[in-house]
Amino acid sequence: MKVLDRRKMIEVNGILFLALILSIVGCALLGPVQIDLSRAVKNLFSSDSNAEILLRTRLPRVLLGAAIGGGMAACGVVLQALLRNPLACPQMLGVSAGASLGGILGLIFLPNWLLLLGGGLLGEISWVPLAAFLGALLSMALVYHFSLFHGRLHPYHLLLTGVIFNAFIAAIMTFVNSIVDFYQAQGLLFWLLGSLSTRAYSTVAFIWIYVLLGFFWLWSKGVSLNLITLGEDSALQLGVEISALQRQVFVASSLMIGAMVSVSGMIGFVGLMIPHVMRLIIGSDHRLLLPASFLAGGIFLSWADTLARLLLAPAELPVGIVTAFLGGPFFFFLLYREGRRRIAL
Amino acid sequence: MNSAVEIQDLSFTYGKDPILQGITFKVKRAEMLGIIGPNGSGKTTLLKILAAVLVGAGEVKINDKDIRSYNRRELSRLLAVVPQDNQVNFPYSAAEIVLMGRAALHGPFSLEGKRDLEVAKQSMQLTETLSFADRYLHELSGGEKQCVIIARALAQEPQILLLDEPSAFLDLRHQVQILELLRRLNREQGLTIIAALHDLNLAALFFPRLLMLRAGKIYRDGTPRDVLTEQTIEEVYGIRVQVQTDLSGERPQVIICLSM
Repeated sequence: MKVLDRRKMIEVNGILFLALILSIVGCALLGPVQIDLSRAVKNLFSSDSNAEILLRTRLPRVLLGAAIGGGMAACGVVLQALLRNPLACPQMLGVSAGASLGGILGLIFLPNWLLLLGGGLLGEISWVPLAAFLGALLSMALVYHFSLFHGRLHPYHLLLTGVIFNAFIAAIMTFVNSIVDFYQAQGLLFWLLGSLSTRAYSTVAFIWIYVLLGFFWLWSKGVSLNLITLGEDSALQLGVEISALQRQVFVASSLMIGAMVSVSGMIGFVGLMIPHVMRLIIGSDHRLLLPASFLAGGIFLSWADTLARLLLAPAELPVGIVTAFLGGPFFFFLLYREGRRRIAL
Repeated sequence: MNSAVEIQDLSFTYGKDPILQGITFKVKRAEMLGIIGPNGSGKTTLLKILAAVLVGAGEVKINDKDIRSYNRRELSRLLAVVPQDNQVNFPYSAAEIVLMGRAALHGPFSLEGKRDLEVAKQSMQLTETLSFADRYLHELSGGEKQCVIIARALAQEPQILLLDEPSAFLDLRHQVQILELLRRLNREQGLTIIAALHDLNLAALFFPRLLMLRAGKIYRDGTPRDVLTEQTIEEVYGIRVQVQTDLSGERPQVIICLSM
């Protein structure tokens, strides 16, 4: 009888953690400009162009990518479990879009003095992440309630609601785009494509804190997440307080998505692909699946972003395009497999 | 005093339609009760109310205490359910599913302990599912799947076991096997068993007491002999039957009469 034990937990998470550290270092060294590592290390605290690029430009960006990849993957895992839908992820459900819309509306309609005050208090981060969080939470609640059908979640119903919701928000964004000035419209494009660009270490730290907080909160629900995949009735009678679990998962993942979207826009497909790949490799027990997906998501997005920087160097692709290139076909594959499995049943 | 389940004047409406009306009965500890009745007569709803998945109007007591005074964890140690619909969309092995019966017993980050594994193994032995413990649930046949779900319920170490048509998807051998297992658990371990059943003959063979529902009300409550008569079956199911007895001469067996 093979079951999850301590050894497997330590082995899998240990290997992935190591791989994440190596990826962060490796990706920071790769880029259109060659970096001489030995010189960079030697001149770490003096003004050397190698050290400058490594520490000021590349490292914060890679760290940001790792946090966002991990956070998106973790959110994908819990949303798929909670909604009992292997096709769920922040982007598909329209939660990322809701967060972007919240962020954009915050950016445009919050009075300038409030933004400045927020900027003064919180550094580069202002009230925008809060607005994005509210947008994420609201859209999650909406999509969830619209896809309930006689108290049950139907997989395709949920997906359809997500599609419609995404289209609706896209329309609002296009509308907003046409009433704001040119400068603000440029900013909107960034939200839509999803991109990692170098940020101050304070921003990177802010994202890591939000993502880690949300992640540990979700991880502590591992057992309940296992049970909820069996269906609500079964989960209830096996001891899960479902509405409390739903609330906590919605709030925790909205917090993460809001924070992530407010600095990187909508980076899609990480939250869909990584959980599936990890489930194939290590199984569906969320006590292991959640941390493993978090680490693997970090690894994946670090490399995807490196690819985005290198492909058209010295020009740069938004990383969202790279993940979409990889993720689109993957999504169709899943849909195809799901459809076949359902017919076979 | 020593009743496992006590229901007093229970009713339940879905929208405007009354599903259950004026249900009153008691189940003693270590009793075995079969609930029969046509589709839509309220069997599943009644079981869901007993499992605290649905809440009806009226009084429901488990172990002489109001069902609402328990929290989910407490209830899951007292009472296990084998539901009708067990579709699982995620790849779990049979052993993982059975171990989920132990979930209410451990903390948020902790893994299953030695005792959890022992209990899971035992319940898998009882239900003869240990041989495919490491196979994925969605690869198993309907009957095997059902046995795994029963093993999960047993892993909860409950005092009361609720089953919604436990033998619905099984072939004859598996049907008898499951019902024999239930009878053994009832006799040897004093497990209280309440099951909704479609097969009247199997119900008569294995359950000493039957509750017959008709349109949300209790139509008959008693031994199979009292409950399963030509007259009651015609009244409740609307078909003509002949009732004979099995080889022991004690338990009724229903034979369907087709008009030629």
